[in-house]
Amino acid sequence: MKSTGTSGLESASVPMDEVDPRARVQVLYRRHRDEVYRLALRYGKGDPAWAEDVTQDVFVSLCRTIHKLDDWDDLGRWFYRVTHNCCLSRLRRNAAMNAPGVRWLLRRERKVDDQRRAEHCTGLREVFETIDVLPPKQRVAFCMYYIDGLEQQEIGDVLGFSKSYVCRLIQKAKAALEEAGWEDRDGG
Amino acid sequence: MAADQRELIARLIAADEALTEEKLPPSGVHRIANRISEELDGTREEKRLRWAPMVAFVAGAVLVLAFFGYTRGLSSPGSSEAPARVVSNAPQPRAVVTGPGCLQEDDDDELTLRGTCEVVTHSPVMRVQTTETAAIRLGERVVTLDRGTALFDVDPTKDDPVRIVTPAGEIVVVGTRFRVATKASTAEVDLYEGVLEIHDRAGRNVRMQAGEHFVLRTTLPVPADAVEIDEAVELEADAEQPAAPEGKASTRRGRPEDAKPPSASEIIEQVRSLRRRGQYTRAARTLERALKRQWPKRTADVLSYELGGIIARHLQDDQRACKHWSRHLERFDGTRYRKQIAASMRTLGCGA
Repeated sequence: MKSTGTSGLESASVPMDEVDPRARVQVLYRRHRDEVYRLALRYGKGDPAWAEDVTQDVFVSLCRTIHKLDDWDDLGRWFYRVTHNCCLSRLRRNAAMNAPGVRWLLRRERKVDDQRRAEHCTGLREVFETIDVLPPKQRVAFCMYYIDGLEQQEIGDVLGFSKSYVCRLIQKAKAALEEAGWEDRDGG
Repeated sequence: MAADQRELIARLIAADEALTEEKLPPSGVHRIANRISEELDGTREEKRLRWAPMVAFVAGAVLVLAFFGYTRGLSSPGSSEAPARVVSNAPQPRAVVTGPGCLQEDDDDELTLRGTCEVVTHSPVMRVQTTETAAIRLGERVVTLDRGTALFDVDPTKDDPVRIVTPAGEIVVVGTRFRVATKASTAEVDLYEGVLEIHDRAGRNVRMQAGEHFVLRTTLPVPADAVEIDEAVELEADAEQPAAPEGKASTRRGRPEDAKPPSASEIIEQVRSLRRRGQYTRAARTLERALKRQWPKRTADVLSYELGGIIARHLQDDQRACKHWSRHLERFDGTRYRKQIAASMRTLGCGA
């Protein structure tokens, strides 16, 4: 473990355009880490460890692409996109690992750390548990549409899907929730 | 309990807003910062193991190729389906003999084949098919057909062509598909594709083109020009006529008495060849003569339909075509071409 790296990251405060990539990452880490963590908590149903892992993934991606990024003042959109994609990848991986066949092969029980989540975010988990019935892609598209208020085209741009596919994902998500007992009284 | 989706969305938004107070815990901050430092220093294991996916991919590809190679090896001709698979002991080229019910005797350098056999050699690439008893010797780029009939399919080679040696002469293969029927003193050659050079015992050379028929003789003078395949068919169709006397015409028009008349598929192939060359009258004549022979009803139906098609479409002799179709319908009650014939008769205006 490198303590110098840690202290360096914590103490950087230099203008973005004049610093080397390491310092840039440090500044961006301090500026965006909580925002990334909060987004990850949403999809991790309040699980802090899960959200930390996603946050780490996002910043590792940043380290690997730092030399390609140009617009230093408007990286919020980049973080939003990468965080959603990291969450989606992780949700899909979890779904695959929790498939009955894979669990049987790996001799693993379904991994649910309810107690730890409950300690951290009581109530939060229950709310997000309701959309846990949705497959990862539908869940992410649904949240982006209804919580973040993004247009279908914007969601498609972030996730790399077409607008029509995003529309289908949202419709399927609504249908799945309806089947799970949530009625759509708006009809739309 | 059923609830409104709007209510669910409102609760989700509220829960999400509640998260705005959340911050990355200090332990997480340090852990991720350390991970970032490692990433920037390039000390992570993944950096050094970037070749690992490539190695895995290559290993997978090798396994897949090995699997396909193994399965192809299993399904290659003669391994399991063809019990008659025998690797010839002939010195050069190495040959594989296959064929259902093929019996072969490998006597030093001569290979005697009985039944329907296929001999495949790899150097040169050549396929020899036999349907009757045939005796061949495989040498280095020289195949000797001592007796019997064989269909040769040879890959094109210009520098060092394959030579087929018969008792009557030698055939130089420039890359082609042809049939050789060897008798005691003759060798008949039917060339289907490509070009052949024939060298007779008298030292004369003839170049054959696709679709031509040639008879090589040991005792008689050999013609300098090749006989066209339709003429050979004429001779075969006139088998009842007395054989031409040994002499001037027999080499060109004569046909050995023990020669087998062409099969229906051979006739069809000859007719196709003639049609390709636009020789419709000859094609019709070939079919008319063939129809004089005794055929199974279905075969005769096919040949007669072919003839009718040529008369109607190519010769455009409406009256003759109508007459032919009427006779065809009478002769082949329940013909498989009823619809096509009816359509043709309508087009021709038969009976109008």
